[in-house]
Amino acid sequence: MKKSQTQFAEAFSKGLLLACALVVALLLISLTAYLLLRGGKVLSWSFVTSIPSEGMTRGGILTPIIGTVTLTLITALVSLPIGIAAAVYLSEYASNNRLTQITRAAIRNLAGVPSIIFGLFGLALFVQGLGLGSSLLAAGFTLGLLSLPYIITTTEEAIRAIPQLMRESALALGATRWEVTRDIILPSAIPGIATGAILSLARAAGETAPILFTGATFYLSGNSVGLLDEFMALPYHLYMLVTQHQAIEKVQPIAFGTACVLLLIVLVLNLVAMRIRKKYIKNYQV
Amino acid sequence: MTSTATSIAIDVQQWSLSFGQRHVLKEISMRIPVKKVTALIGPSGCGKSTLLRSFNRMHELNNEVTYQGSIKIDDKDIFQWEVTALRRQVGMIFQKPVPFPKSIYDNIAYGLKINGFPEKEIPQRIEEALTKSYLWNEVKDKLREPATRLSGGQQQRLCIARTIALQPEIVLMDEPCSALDPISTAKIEELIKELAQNYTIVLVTHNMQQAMRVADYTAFMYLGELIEMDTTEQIFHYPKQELTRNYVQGNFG
Repeated sequence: MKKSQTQFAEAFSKGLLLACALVVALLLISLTAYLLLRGGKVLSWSFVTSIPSEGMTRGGILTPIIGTVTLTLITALVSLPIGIAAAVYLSEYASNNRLTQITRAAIRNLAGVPSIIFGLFGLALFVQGLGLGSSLLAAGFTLGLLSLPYIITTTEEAIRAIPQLMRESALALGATRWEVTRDIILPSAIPGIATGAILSLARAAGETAPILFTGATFYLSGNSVGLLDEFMALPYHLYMLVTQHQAIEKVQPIAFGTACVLLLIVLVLNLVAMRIRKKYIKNYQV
Repeated sequence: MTSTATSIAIDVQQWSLSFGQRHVLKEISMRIPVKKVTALIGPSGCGKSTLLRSFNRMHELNNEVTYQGSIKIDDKDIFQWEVTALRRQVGMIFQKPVPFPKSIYDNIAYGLKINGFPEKEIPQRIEEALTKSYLWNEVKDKLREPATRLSGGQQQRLCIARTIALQPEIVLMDEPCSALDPISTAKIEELIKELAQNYTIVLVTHNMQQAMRVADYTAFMYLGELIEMDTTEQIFHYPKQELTRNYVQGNFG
């Protein structure tokens, strides 16, 4: 009696957990399938290599692809050095005093600030305050700020996972604090840092709200990119096509196609993160 | 101490150490002889590892720590040494082997590089260090492989190799066999005896048999105090203190 009860409880909890996991997987699969079904028709090589034409009812999405890629690069250039340096300071150098605790709490809370607030902040600071205007640079800086708390937090976690004995072993060989950080800590933490960084950038690449007032525009003719010019970006392009375009029937397939490409870019970024992680684990079993 | 003729590697005078309000070491005075194995034994929490880590200033990462008294190495107070130079002179092996996430070769090359050994001497020094730590024959064909692929015992010998490659005078060992199986332990013990011909070794161990097997001198510590230090023979067979006798006979610990 008792035994069969335990067995039942065991089977029940296992089934419940499995169901929850399946729901998540199903959600992703059905989302992808739906997008492919609606937008699959327009997907082709020329769709990603030609610029939008005839009021965005025809042509491809090269301009917003270029915009999103350069935007993400600027975001990375801004957020990675500052974020990693801040995380190294917090985990390796900062003593555990009140200032550090407040800084850390501020960073954690910053991660919870809605992205539209970052957009407004970027508008005030970069677009107007620093006079960058509505531009690629202003939007890149804004997304950089948005990514910072995630990059700092994941980098700090990656660094904390390194055993204290590893630091002490290097110090005991006569290494300075900085040599330990540069030669031992950072290389050991690369898988964690890279994963966190790429995931944050993938998230930033898909953001619409922060670039709404800081640089994205709904249409550009031609596909040149200037740091101080406005640009087209995939998520904003998608938003535009779905909600603001008058020829909704004509542009809907293009909108779904855009969604597929955006998803694909994010997927590729995630795969890169997984690969880096695997490669390092295989080589060093860290 | 019996052999006053031997010269002194580490001279500890009235050394006390506290972490905040907690007094961990109380007025310890001892002289650790050159090119001998000195074992520090005592029950958990007696301060033996804390004392060991004082010698190469490993407590400096902790900013709550305060000291009194003095420790001299080469007739120079350890706080007058530049810390990196002190740690090159006084190597350390830890409870668990922690190879760096680098190849076997680079694990040893790293210490040599940061300490400014000439680039062209490095391969030669690496071979010497691996030979001295009885690892050369096992790894000579896979020097470029990640060090983490070695077994636990091999990893510990690699850690010993990367320490002695810097030609220290003193090697501190903090329970170096606690994570190893009996066969690997036997090899490390063999190695410790061998190394004592060229280096001063201070060995923290919770294993009394190990102290008996490898140590020339043994110091017994209890609750942060040094109770007795003498030749290993004396400590285990003719201890002067009642407390030492009880401990080595296994009455507590």
